[in-house]
Amino acid sequence: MENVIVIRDLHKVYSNHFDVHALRGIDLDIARGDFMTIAGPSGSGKTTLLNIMGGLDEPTEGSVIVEGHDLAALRKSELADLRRTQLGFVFQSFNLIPVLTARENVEFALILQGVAEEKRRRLAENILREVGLDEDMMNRRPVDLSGGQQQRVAVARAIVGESSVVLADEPTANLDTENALALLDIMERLNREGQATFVFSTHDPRVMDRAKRRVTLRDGVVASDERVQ
Amino acid sequence: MATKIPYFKLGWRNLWRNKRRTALTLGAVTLYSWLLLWFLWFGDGAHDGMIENYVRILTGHVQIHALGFSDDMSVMKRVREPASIAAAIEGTDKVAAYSFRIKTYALAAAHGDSAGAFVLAFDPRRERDVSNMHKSLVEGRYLEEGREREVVIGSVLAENLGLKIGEEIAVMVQAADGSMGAEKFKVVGLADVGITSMNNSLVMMNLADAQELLAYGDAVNEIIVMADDSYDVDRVCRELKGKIDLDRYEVLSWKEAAPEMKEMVELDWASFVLMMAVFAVVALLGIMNTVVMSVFERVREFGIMTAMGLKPGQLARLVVTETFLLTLVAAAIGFGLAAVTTYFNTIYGFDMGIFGAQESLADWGMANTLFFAKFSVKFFVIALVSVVAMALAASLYPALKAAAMRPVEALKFR
Repeated sequence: MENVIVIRDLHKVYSNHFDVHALRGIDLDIARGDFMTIAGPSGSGKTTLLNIMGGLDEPTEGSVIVEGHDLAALRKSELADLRRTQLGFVFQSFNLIPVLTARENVEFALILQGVAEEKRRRLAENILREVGLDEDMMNRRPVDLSGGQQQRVAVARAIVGESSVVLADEPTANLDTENALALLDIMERLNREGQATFVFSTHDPRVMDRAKRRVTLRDGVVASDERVQ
Repeated sequence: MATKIPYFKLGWRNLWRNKRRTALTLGAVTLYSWLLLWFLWFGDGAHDGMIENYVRILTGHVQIHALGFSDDMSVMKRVREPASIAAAIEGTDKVAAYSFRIKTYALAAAHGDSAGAFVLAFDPRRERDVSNMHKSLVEGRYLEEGREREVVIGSVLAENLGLKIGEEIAVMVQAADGSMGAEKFKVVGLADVGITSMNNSLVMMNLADAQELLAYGDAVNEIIVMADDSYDVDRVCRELKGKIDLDRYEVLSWKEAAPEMKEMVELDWASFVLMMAVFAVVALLGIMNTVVMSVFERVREFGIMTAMGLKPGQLARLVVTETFLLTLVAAAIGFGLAAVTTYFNTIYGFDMGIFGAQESLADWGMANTLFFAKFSVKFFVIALVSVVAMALAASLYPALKAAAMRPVEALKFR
């Protein structure tokens, strides 16, 4: 299967008063259609790996190739273009722009992709309906939505348009079980329908139970990489 | 790829996330914009009024003398052929009026007392078009054309010499032929021109009387020219200099003839600019505080936007848009208020006397303390540019700060 992300010998050292080796030589191929978790204890390098994959942070050594683009060779603006067109992000919380409604938040991602207004509105409403938001909720600002609803909007925003990979950092950490499972159902369905590859950084068993592939990091290296049937 | 980021929508909504803070800043910038434009329009009108008052008492817009007269006011320095100068003036564009004058120092005496005098002689009919001397009358009547040996004198001079209307005053001068000219005149009126030193010494008389007293024949020693508008003065002056023999005559604009007045206006503008600069700094810090606070409160949000693909320049533009929206809304309200205030000032004026300015204005010959504002596109543009520059300056630091954020660090922000 075609790889959307290829990681080779990835190192990340945070240098402050002393050096902290967050990643110590990661090799990982992420195939299109993967629904995978990157798990591990706190400090194992999960979030660092996800940030580097998304071009939000730079590695100290090694390479990351996303959709054929070597991130190290891209300028800041080219990285922004790549994030805008190929990648979607879902964070633990506070994902949305507070002054925009749910629909406007999703439309904002499409604006950045240069989608025309009419199409933009249609795509945003469709995807929001898919993640279970009704017309009334679409017109609410984040402050008037529950945590679960906000995360659904974040997922909708991450996959709307042309984004092929969703990088989700602890997306269920602040959700109760009912909301977490509902969110996972949505993401699983979107993945099954071929809309996106999902990479989760998590230690939430609810997420790991659903994963088709589980990568575990320990002390900055891949401790295990298993595919689930 | 063309992306039309809704900067205005985002900016406007972001501004009102902290309503009280934005409202306070909006109020401060509105006040600044209001005062700035109102003061500019009022200052312009008031200065025009001051200059008009001043030139209408003494200098006129343009003065023509024999060369060197402005240095020593010697009676020997005269314009022997005023008719030829008059022809040049009449052929000049933008000239409203002109008048011949004779000015000289003299000795005035009455009831056994004497005092230094300043003789100002003119044709009363022509002089009405170039000066406000006829408005300075406080008692008796004004000079009339064709009536001989009559004077209107300064009210303080009359008091010092114990003179009343109808009594006689002797005036002694050095004549142009080297002799002493002396004549008695009947006091027909008393004047208060608003300048203490002139009220002490002024003796106004008909031009023909002065010509006889100074043995001038048809000569005069000053020709006063008024332009259609104060903005036309330089043009009229330039044109006259091109027509008049500058080896024999001097042509001076009021700015050259009375540099102290020009300097006073410049000083007034300078102190205004200084005052408004202080206000501007306060307003600028207010805006900057609002925007900087707003940026620091939204660090994580900027991180999310960056993750979505917003570029540093686009983040900076968002911050600049917010600053401009805040500033321009305040400026629009402030300028609107300034327009209303100025409108009333153009009709009813503004009495500077309420600030106790009568005495200082009187020193400059301004008995009238009521000044009128004047609308001017030039000053509107200056105010607008100043406010836009302020917005730009206030947005620079927070915009650069937003643009320089590292996404990974911004996303860690709580």
